Amino acid sequence: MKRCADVVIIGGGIIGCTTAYFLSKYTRDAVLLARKGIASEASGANYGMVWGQTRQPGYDLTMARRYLELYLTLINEVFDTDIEYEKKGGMTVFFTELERKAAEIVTRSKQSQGIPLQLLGAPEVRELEPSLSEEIMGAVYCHEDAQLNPMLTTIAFARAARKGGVAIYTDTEVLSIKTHNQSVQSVITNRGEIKSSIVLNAAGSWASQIGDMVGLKIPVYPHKLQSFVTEQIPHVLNRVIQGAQIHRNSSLEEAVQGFSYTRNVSAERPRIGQQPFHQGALADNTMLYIKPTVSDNIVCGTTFEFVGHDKNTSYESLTLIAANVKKTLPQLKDVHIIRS
Amino acid sequence: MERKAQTSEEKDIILCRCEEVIQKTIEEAIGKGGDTLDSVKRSTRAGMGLCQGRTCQRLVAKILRDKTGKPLEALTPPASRPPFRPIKLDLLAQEGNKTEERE
Repeated sequence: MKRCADVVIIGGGIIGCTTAYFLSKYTRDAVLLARKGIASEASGANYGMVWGQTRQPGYDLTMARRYLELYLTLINEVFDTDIEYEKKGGMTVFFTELERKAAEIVTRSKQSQGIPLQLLGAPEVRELEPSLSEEIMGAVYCHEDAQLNPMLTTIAFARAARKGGVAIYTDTEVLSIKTHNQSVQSVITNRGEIKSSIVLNAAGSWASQIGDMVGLKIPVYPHKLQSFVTEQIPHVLNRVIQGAQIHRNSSLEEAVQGFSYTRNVSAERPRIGQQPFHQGALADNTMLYIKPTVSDNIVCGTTFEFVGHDKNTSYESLTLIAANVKKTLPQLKDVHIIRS
Repeated sequence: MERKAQTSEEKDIILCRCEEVIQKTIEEAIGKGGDTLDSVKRSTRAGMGLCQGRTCQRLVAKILRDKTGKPLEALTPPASRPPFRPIKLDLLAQEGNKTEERE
């Protein structure tokens, strides 16, 4: 292992690997440390949605749009493996009159901010996605939205970074960071010490632990989402479908927040068992995701919980997801679940 | 017609029957730096199918041992989670509806 580097990146997820790749254009002396493997945690287990519709105007939206363009260049010129990128548009479906009202408010407001959203009625929804339930009243649709395979994308960035000269060490855990006069001196790992004056914290849901090592409070905490995967079943859906995060007794104001993906959050570490969105039942902390994959398995989710880094799945959560999926895509009821 | 038995030299033996992954693909993944059961699974899909690696995991582990020199005990299997046999989505959905009513 290298004992000295210009930059040490902590984290083998999407942030660490993208940064490593772009850094490799400026230095041949960057190091990336991954506690487990590449994309072993959240970057390998998410829906891979590169969406504009969920973004907030300003920086957030600009970045999302830039990425949508950038991926095309990366796929054509940089990546040596397929990342299953597909620009098929993104759809958020709704079932009730309250949700429709909220969707209308959010669509109008985002349209005025330059996000090309469309409010679709039931017939238009089924024209795009014939298998969806008759119960669906409509959807918010954005034709710019794309999806990809997050695990393969992270791995592709890591390979491109390695090709550019970045040294990547997996199974390498950061134990502490040495500082002197407010500057970083070195990073101590389970495989020895690496001297560097620049350390990049790309540890995702462990970012706050890395921050603690140098006395920085970083309010990023793990948020547990559960999903299951079905057996392979082709041609059910053309694109990833999501619902809004709205609980059963939502007011219009809360429903608007649910559709616009804005929420007031505390900078304090959540306590274990605290409900992220709506106090009380797990059923009110769910959100529908159904993602058809290139391999024809369908990934379905999710519930939201604050339970630290626990990665086990629970019976209660899987039953709630299944109920949501059946309601949205009745045809899936006879399909087998193979993994959670 | 009688099929000719394949020799291991031919390397096109299917190891993961669910995802139809051949031995050569596994060996290539290891050659590209995959040195854990999880990373080989992630890059080849071996073990991601209906049986979730019940058949192929041991075979992949042996190839990993031979190629990397790691002992079998050091090769930790990827996390295994429910269901332990494929189950119909509807079974869970009916329970989910009851849970929602209760809550």
